[in-house]
Amino acid sequence: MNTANAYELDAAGPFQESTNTQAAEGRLVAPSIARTSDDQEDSSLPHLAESSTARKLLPTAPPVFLPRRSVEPRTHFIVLEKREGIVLEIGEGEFEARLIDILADEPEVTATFSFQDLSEDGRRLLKPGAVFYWNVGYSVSPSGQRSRVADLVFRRLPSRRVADVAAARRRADEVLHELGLAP
Amino acid sequence: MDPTPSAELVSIVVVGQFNPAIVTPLWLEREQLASPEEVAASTLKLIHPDVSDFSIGEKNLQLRRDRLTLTTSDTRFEEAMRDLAVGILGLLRHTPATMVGLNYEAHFKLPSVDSWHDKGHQLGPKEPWAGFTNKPGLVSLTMRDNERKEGYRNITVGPLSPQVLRVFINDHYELGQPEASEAQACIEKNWRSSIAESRRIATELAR
Repeated sequence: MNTANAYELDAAGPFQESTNTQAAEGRLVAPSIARTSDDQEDSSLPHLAESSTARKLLPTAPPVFLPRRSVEPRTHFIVLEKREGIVLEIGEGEFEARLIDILADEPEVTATFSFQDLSEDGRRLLKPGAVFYWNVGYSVSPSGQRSRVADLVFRRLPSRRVADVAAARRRADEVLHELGLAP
Repeated sequence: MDPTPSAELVSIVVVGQFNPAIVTPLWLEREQLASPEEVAASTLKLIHPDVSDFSIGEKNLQLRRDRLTLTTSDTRFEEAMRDLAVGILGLLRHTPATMVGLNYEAHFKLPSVDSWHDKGHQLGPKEPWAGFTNKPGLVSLTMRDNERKEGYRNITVGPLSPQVLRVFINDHYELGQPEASEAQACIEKNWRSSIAESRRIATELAR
């Protein structure tokens, strides 16, 4: 057994498949530099320990496991309102969208947004039918500074593959045929 | 008024058999799952045949041979994180995948140290421990809700630091068909309701 394996067991207990984020992270923490007698068998450096000077230099104290922060100090967002938007129409310098309340059951509304509200990527993704998320709330910096923000995050979907498009066309042809609408 | 978390962490974990080396920021850009700006600003931690680990656009992605983990601590980007997970799994649709975890963590600063102790006493009464402990204190408590047959919800609660309560919820799903496309469908079907329910549970526990 090497020190990495020893630490895996110390940190997370016997291996057990789990979708718990922290159980996964626990097994990923870098192994300690402390060496066990077992790992000298397969290490390329054990002969150094035979020299009395080298032995003094090698770490002998047991590993110290520092408590891990479960959340790094990063920007935190306190959401006041969150809506999913669907772009309906694009005009000169602005666009119209239907907004669906994600957090509550408020009725759907239509709103107009300026292009200036969009990031460069948002402008590239803007087209009728595009989906975005509109967040209103407080952005809290790691130092605790709050600023009120409203921003738009557009939904990204993977590029369609030729085979997927061909399969969708075949399926559409089948449906047309079943409905008796095929040319 | 509902308690407001002082920090939140949302994550998706998929257990399977992956090839970490192919998933890089450039690959995400090529597949239109990330913008050029996000890729230019991404932070690489490790790209290796066994681990791909980087941050991109307020999202952290870690892919090991046995699991994909996506996290964000900025809830503006939780939908973007879900879309990224769904997009990656859609591209790797025939990759073996067996489990999905939709996870949520929240920290609540309670009004006082006394109310923080009271919460500990309420969740973990000390009477059963009185005969053999001198000063018992709750470190962590996990309750499993076995409501579903294809998974469960583990709710873990405990102190994070003086006056701060930590709630972590692992909403775990076992997949019927062991394929990434099934994991993709599971996330698309359950993610929104799962996060909403986890937020509700965390708020109730902090109340």
